[in-house]
Amino acid sequence: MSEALWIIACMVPAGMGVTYVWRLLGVVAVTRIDPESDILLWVRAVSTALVAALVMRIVIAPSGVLADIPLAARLLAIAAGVAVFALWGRATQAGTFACVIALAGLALVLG
Amino acid sequence: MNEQRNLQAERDTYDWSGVWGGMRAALSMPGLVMACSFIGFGALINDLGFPLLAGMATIPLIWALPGQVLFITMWQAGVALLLIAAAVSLTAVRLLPMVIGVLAQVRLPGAARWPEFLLAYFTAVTIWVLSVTHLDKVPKRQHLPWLIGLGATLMAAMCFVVPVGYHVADRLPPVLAAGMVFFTPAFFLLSLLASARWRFDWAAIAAGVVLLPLARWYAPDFDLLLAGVGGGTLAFLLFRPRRKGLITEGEPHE
Repeated sequence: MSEALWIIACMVPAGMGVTYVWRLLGVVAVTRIDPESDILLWVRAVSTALVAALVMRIVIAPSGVLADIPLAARLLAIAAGVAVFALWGRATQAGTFACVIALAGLALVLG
Repeated sequence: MNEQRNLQAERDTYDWSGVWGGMRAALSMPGLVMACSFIGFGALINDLGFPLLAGMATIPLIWALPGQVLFITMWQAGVALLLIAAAVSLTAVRLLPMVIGVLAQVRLPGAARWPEFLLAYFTAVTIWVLSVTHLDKVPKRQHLPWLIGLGATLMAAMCFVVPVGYHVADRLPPVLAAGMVFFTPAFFLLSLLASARWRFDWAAIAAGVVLLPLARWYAPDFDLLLAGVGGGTLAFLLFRPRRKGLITEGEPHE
């Protein structure tokens, strides 16, 4: 219990502070930036590419239970989800569940 | 023109009845998908031997799953607090464009500013995606309250979901546990595809996916930053919309 409280005390500056500061800067910046300005479009492109890269990192270099699933199964599962998404009229949820189901199925077949 | 401006000023207060719609939306599909990711997070806390209470505290304190995963993983690895703070902060940089993107869509320029700080506190990938995909049918004055209702409800609900994942993890077959963890990347990627509107969006997704393995090989410690900043910049330079007004025309609710 006291260990948890100590971690939480450390988390306030080292987790919350360093995270909220970027949100705060966003609130400050939004009034000074034209929503159609090049800088905002660039920032949108960078944030999109960052999240896409994060997805790719979890898929090709995972830790924990995911690491025990073959790489081919992880990549094919993502492809299956994207295919379902595209064929199902851009349905995010259907595609997400297709990814997960495909991963479990492929893990059983390939593993 | 002046009359229009006066009308605009009258409309510049938030309609807080929108909170209820956001709360209802949280308890449907987006909440379910997020819950699956956070069950995976609970399983990870157990896996690492991190205290459950401190793991749950990452939800209201950090509220961005990549940062939360990083904090507990590095803490358990015994990394210095300063380095943990630096790494968590790096993953949180992407919240800056997200907050700008969300607020630019939903804020009323003449209204009080404090609700924007509150919405920024709740802003993370899921909120960003839903602000692009779910607000079409919500009246403009309800947009910001709607998202605050959604964010607050999701945050509260995840505090109940994480202990479930923590206690269930040991009893799940490994394949099912892996499926739970896989919800997060799958949802992130498909949300990006769903919210892509312009050519540079598609290019940025492709660039991030393709550049990450290369960046990982070239500089493993900076792979995310290289692929994200490099890929995003490349996509922007190659596929930038040429004239002003394009964005407004592209927005269905404008």
